[in-house]
Amino acid sequence: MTGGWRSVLERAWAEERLGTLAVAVLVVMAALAVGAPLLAGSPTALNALHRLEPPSLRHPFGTDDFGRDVLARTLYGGRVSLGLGLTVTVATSVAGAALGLLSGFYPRMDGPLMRLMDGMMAFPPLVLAIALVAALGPGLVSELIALWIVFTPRIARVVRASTLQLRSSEMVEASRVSGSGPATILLGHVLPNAMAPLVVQASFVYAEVILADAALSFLGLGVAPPVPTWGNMVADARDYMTVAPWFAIFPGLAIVVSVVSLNLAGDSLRAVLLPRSGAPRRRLGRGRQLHVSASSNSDRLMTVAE
Amino acid sequence: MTRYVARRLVSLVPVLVTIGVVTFVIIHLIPGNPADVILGNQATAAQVAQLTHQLGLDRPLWDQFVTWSANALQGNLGQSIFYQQPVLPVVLSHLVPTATLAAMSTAVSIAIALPAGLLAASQRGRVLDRALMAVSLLGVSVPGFWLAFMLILVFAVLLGWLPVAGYVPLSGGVGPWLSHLVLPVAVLAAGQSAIIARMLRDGTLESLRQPYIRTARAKGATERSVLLGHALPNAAIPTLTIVGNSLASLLSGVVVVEVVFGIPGIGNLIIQAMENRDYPLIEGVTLIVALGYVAVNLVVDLLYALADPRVRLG
Repeated sequence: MTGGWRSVLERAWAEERLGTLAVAVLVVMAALAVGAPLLAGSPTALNALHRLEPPSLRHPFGTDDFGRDVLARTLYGGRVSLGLGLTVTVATSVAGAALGLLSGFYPRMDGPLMRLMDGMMAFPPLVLAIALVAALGPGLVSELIALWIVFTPRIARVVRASTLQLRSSEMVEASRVSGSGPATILLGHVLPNAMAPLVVQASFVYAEVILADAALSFLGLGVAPPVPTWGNMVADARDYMTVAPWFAIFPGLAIVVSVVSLNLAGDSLRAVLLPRSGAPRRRLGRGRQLHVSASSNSDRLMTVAE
Repeated sequence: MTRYVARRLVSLVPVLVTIGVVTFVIIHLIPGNPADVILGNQATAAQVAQLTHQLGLDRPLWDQFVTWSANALQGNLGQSIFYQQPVLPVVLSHLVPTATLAAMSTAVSIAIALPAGLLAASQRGRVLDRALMAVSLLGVSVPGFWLAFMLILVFAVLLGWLPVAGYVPLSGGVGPWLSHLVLPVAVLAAGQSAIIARMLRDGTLESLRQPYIRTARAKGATERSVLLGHALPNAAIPTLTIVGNSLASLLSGVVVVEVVFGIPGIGNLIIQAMENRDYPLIEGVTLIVALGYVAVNLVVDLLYALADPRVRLG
């Protein structure tokens, strides 16, 4: 990576055009959400004279049933939807990594922990999330906790699989022989090499969390109005579908665009970080060959270097 | 085969125990005394005490769990607070619409995904493959409730071909029954068929790389016979597992779809139970849905083992 950011970007663009584009879209969406206060008016300013107005120059996405600007609400909604999704994704990655490392490294913990994960995954994600939110009481924090519990097994499974393969690798053996303790081995050797599958899985989890959050707030179990989320905006719009379709269309499109982008980014990350797991590499950087070194008999645990 | 079935059943035990524990824990996550929360502000101390006792909340936790598990094993999931009836019959009486939606969506999804996945695999990397995979990406990325609204807007409101919402049982006539199911099933199948098509494509590509495919080609088999006669059977079996697993996301979608279309299934029931703070009913629905998922996947695994000796002998 001698050329710094520029060369990284050039290579990403050359090798994974769609994925790079998807990441760019996500960055723009995140920037719009963060910059919402600078870019748009108040998301909660009522204006009874301008209810359900179609898109115009003043209100590019139209107005809602209270005369609020749908564009402003969509931008602000991104703060909750993207922000909550990111928080849950980071939390599930940390918890999932811990569970996966322990379960993959200590055979004695593997059985109980994995049965627990299997049991958790037998609940349809939304049903379990609803039950948990029902118990904890609707709201942002409950939703965070519920989605964190629901999605942690997804990450744990992937990290466990990597850990199982790495446990018997020469690298780990060498470290053990040279006197490293389990913490050094797990955090210093196993985790860094399990990062690639974790990151790939995390991007898909992020996409699923956004959908789950949208469904929960649509059902009235997430962040409550007047704070806008993409899900509760669509829910508000349901009574005005025929007179003001834009009211439902724009927040829905925001969900679709962010989830599609995350899935595309995940596909690209998988293609770059985990070659051989999906389609073979389509394009390699011009004049550059990627050298891939793999530990024996593993598909996933590779270090990629130029 | 008997040994495989026995092994598979034994492996279910810890999963079932986990499901039981998770379901049992739900009511205990309620901050404070659940009886207070259930009864609301206007309850008297005597009412709270009575409900606390009725729910067994005044006994030690392990004692509650043992009693709860013993009752659950006998099909006694407690008393619904809103319906004033045992939970199990309440849940079962809402099962038919949900099962109908799930079965129809799965059937439609397989009918779409099978040709789509095979076509994509055979055209791999070409325009058709890319187009099909792009559509499938949209299928997994569109929130069900939003797709439902868009379909309602177009097919029910603008074109007037289908009812906006509602549910008619089969006893109300096949025509009305079907017409009320078209849009909900379309929404569910959009996501489910996308998942299955993707997996089938990847599975077919994987089996196309196997040596026996090279052998078949070397013998001069046509591309059609390689794909349908050799690659598909081997890709179809793992796909069966995917169909079983897709049930989890399907059932998540069912909750939303039932709410949007006003279908009186268990998805609507759990939302209603939530609004009524009917925790025994919430627990009952959660438990039964998880058990249904486990049961379907057990059947899938057994079918898998029947079809593929490597599974039962391995």
